[in-house]
Amino acid sequence: MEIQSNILDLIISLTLIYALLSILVSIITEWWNHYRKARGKLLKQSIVKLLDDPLNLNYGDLFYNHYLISGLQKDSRPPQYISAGMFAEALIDVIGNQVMHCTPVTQLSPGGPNGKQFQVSPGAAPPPAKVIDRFEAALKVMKPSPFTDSMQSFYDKSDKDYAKLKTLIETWYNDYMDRVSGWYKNRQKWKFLVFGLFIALGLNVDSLHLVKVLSLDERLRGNLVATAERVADEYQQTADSLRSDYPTLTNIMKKAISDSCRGDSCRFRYFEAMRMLKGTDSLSKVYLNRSDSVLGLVSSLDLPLGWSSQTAPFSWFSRPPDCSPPVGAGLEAYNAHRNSCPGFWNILRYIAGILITAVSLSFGAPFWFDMLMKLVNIRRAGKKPPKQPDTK
Amino acid sequence: MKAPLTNVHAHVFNSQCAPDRFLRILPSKLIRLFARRLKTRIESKSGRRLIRFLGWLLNWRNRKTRKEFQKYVSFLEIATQRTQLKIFQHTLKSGLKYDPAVRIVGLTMNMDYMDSMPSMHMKGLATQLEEIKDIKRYYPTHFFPFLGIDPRHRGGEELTEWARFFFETGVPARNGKVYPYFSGIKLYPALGFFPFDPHLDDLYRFAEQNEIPIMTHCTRVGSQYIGNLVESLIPEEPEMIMPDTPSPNAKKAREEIIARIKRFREKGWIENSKMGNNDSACDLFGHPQNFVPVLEKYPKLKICLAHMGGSEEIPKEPPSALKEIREADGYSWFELIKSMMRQYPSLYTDISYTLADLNKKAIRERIIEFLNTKDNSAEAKPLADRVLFGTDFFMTEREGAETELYDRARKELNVFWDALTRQNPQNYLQQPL
Repeated sequence: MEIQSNILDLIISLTLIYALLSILVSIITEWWNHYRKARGKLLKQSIVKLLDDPLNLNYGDLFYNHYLISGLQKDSRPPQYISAGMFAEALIDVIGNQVMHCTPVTQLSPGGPNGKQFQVSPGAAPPPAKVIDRFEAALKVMKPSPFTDSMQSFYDKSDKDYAKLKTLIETWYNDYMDRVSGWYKNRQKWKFLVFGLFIALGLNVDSLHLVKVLSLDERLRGNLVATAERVADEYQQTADSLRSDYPTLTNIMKKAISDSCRGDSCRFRYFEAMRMLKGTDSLSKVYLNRSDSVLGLVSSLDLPLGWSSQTAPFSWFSRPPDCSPPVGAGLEAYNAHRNSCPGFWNILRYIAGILITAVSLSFGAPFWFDMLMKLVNIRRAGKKPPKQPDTK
Repeated sequence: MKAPLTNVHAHVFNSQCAPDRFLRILPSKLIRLFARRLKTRIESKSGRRLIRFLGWLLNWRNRKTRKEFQKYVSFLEIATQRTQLKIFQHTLKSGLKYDPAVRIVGLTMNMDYMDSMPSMHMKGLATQLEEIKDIKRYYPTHFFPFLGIDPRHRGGEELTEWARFFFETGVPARNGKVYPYFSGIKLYPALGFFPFDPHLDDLYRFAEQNEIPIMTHCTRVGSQYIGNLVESLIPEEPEMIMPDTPSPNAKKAREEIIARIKRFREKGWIENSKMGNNDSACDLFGHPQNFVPVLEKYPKLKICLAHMGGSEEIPKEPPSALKEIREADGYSWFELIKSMMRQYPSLYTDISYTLADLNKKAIRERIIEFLNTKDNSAEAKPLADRVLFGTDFFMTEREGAETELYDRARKELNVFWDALTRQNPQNYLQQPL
């Protein structure tokens, strides 16, 4: 038996809206991370910190100068990802290079018209030819420090075998990267909240207003629930690995919602102009296209969002205030009262509504999609009987 | 064999070599409060874009000031390059336009003691030098780095042993010559030490024996010493390197140095300060006269007092802001360097940074007069034989592009061009030709 409940339908509708807008928050956060080189910067900070040895050298800095790593950098953009193998190889080189370029030279002749002349000191031992031997020799010249101790420990455990040493360093790096991923996620939480607020304000998404409208507008609620069911079906079919992929989530939405943009409801076309902005790199254009696509979906749902001089809060400034009690209990009466009465409680409700949206959107798209699926499943508890053919 | 064109004064360190709170040198409470954060912002591309935009916005009516501001921005662009190698390649590119065999002297600096607070660096001195060694390996015939020395880092024999490694290891080049990694020593006394510090005595002996030249910053102020340790760093009678049998010149210099410290203290110029306005302390540290006892003890030691003492010291009449300081100091640095060069045959100077003002007639004429002055030797050689060409890259980006400075020096000092850029630097550096 299908649970027929207005409250459940309302929650499903709201969840669908949050899921859709969360994709937008995720896209903007991802674009911001790309623009601010957040991933690469955090990776660099973490590696520099890991390899910093005040008693010897800033190995992190030398590591990033190593040709294997510097080759991955584009302009001032540090690499977003360094494989464990590459890390280990570059680090072993950096340590070993300390004994590589120390050829002793002696002065042959004093200064004169042709300057002083030098030669490589006779009998000077050449640096070890094998990488593993260079690593060992470097450890001998490094001053004792926690970093030296850790390198020495890896070397001791490797039995002078390059492959083993590399594996040990790779494991060390992978373990450390797990921690770095945790730090990155923590930083993301705050960004999601900030961009959630940005979207809530930018699209004027007042959650309390949405709840009220959805509870009063049966047609809109019905449309959204039907869309939510299609979304849940599509989401169910998506492979687990793709469930947090934002383009995939956008496509799910696209399939579920008619992609046609209905005339004046396309309020977000200013993004077209943004797309034309010069100076955005190709990846930024990709993010803009994705955002535009999501905004197209939002506008096609005819949701009570967006800025207009006829709706609150703009209408509070553009028309004479009228806080007389609403006439009737329908949607029109509610809208008329809300849009024309800039009273204390309306303003407070509006601010609270925006903040609720911001916090809700900060949970991220995968959370809302999972939630949507669960709610739709609850609604479908008991299979809906097939429709009987009309016998009239 | 004609010596290659040489720029004896260039910097290749980047902002990562400077302490995180480096901007505390600016005497502004607000900047000092956010020094670290501000430096991080400047190091980011978006931060510099914002500065560029604000500069444009604030100066949009005045094209001239807008251009001046853009020069500061291009200075920041170079200073914040990702690696020292990139900065070197920038100056090398300019030099190659004038001589395919151009030599660039890169002056390293020990910035670990700039701040009285524990300083954090992305790149400490050891790492800075390690990178410099790499540049030398890549460009052995073009790059001739000088080793930055601070007696607070190490002193005496320990300092010499540390420095010896950099002069006694090197790199064989493709031309069959062998080059030591480092070609000279760089001092920057304005950071908070006296060049007559006895901790440097052993190093000077080593440098004299091995014909290793010394380059020292020599203008008033320079980089301000930060912190509230100034009083302790400038005792009333600092210990001083003196010849075994003190000469009259050394004795006179010592007396005048002590008297100058006393005068500066009486005027209240040497006081611990939480702000970075310790300009007068810098003047005491970097004074040309501080080298007299050193030159008396090590007469063959080649020392280059850079910048000719600074442009402001060149006009006969000092600018009004400098009058009181000049009076307390007792010397015009430009004149003092001239008289010292007449007396000490191993003393050099360079036209770096000062060359930006060569288009000013009064300064140009005084410099030409300087170049034509004869020394006190029996042969009465012109001082032009011991004046070197340098640009002070990338500090001079605030004054003009590197090639503009090359062109200006070539045009205004045309008669001396070859001597300043080729023969004199070769005599000074003594690197294999």
